[in-house]
Amino acid sequence: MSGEGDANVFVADNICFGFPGKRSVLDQVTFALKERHFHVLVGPSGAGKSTLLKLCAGLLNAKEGTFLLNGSAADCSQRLMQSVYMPQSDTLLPWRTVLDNVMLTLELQGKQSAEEMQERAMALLDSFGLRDCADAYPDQLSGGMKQRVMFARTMLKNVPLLLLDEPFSALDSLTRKQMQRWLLDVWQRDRRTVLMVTHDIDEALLLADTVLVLPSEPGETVQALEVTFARPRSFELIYEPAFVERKRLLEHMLLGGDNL
Amino acid sequence: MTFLVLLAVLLVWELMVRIFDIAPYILPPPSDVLIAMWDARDLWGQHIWMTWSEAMLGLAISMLIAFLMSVAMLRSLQLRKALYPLLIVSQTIPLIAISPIFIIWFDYTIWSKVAVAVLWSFFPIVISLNEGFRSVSPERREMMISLGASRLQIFRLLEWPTALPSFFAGLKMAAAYAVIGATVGEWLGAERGLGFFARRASNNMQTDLLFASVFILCVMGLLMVYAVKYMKRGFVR
Repeated sequence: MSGEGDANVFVADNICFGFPGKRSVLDQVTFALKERHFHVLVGPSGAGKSTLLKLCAGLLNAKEGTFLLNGSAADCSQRLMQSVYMPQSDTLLPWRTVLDNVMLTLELQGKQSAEEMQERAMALLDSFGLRDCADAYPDQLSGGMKQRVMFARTMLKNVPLLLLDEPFSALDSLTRKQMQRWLLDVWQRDRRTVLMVTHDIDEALLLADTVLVLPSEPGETVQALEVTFARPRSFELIYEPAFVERKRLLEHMLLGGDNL
Repeated sequence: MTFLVLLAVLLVWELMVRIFDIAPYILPPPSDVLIAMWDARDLWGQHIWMTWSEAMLGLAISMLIAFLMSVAMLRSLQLRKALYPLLIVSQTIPLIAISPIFIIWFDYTIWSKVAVAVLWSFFPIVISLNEGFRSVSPERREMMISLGASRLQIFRLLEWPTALPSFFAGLKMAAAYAVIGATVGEWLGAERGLGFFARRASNNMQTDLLFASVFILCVMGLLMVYAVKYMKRGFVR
C-alpha cells in the first residue's frame, strides 16, 4: 500500500437521496475516503454514481445522512469549499483560450492580480505539457488535450478532495490509456485525495488504492476492494496474474454470481 | 452575385414598364424613382433622421425590457413557466392591428412611434435571449459552482457569454423590425418621417416618391442589420 497515514478525511454516513417524485437513487450509502489515496467508484449504470459524486461535492443536498470532513459534519457549503468536482462532459468555455480557461479558477477567487494569476496558470500548464497551446481555443484541441486543460483548471482550486466524474469516457481507447498514464503521473506528484467514477474495470484497478463498488439495488452496502499493487505502476500490470485475480474478484462484486 | 440579381430585376422592371407602357402612377420605372429621389433631395434628411431616431429609441427600449425580462425568467423557474407560453402566444397577435392604440395613448409625439417600434422589435429579442440562456449546459453551471463562482460571476462569465450569439441573432431581426415598426407608426399618425412621407406620396398618387421612400427604408433596415452584424464581431468569437 502506498499510503502514508490512513486517516479517513472524508466520510459518507448513511446517505439517502432521491429526485423529487421518483424512487430513491441512493439509500443508506456509507463509505470512507482515506487521506491522499486514489479511490475509484464503480457500479452498474443507473446506480447513482454521478449523483453520489455531486452529493460529495456539495452540489446536491442529501435527503438523509451526514458527510464528515476531517471528522466533523460538513454541509453543502463546506463541501463546496473543501472539494472540487469535474463533470463528465466538455465544460471548457469555447470563447476563452486555454490559458483563460485555466485562469477561470483563480479569477473566481478574485484574490490575485492578473499577472499573478497568469503566472500560476502558465506554470501549471507547463507542468501539464500544455504550454504550447496556451493561446489556442478549445475547439482547436484534441479530446485528450481538452481533458488535460480541464484537469488543470480543476486542480488549480487548491482543495484536498478531487471528485472526477468519468474523465476519460469520451476518449478513444488509445488516448484513454495515454491519459490514464498521464493522470497517474500527475497525481503521484500532487497526491490529493481522489474519488473518481469510472465504468472501466481495468482503469479502476490500474489507478486505485481502493475500489468502491456501489450496489445496483439501493439499500445494499458499498463494498470496498483494496488494490495493493506497488506504485509507480506500469501498464504491463494488466497482464500479471495478481491483476487478473483482482479483476475477477471485482467483476464478481459488480455482477454478482456465486461461482467465485 | 446578389448585386447582379438585383441589377437584373431592376433592368427587367425598367424594360417591362417601357415596353408595356405602364402608367407611372401604377408602376414607375426605376429610373423615374431615382430621378424623383434626386429631385426631392432637400426633403429626405429630416424624414430619415426622424425614422432613424424612432427606430433606434425603440430598439434600445426593446433591448432593455427584453434583457430584464429574460434575466428574471432565468432566475425564476416559476416566472418562466408563467410567462413563456404567453410570450409565444403573443407573437400571433397581428401587430398592425394593435399598433393604433399607441397613437391614441401617446398622440402625435415621437413616443407613439417609438412605442410601435418597441412592439415590433421586442419579441425577437426576448425570445432569442431566452433560448440563449436556456442553452447553458447544466454541467458548465455545476463546474462554475464547484470552482466557487457566485451567482453574479456565473451570469457574467457563463450565462451571458453563452447567450450572446443568439441574442445577436435576435437583435439582427429586431433591428429590421424596429424600422418597420417606426414606419408603421408614422403611417398611422405623424408629421414627419419616411412612413409619413410614403403615405403622403401614396395619397397624392406620387408613386415614384413612394418607391423612393421604400428604397430608402430598405437601405436603412439593411444598414442596421449590418451594424448589428459588425457589433457582434466585437463580442462573439
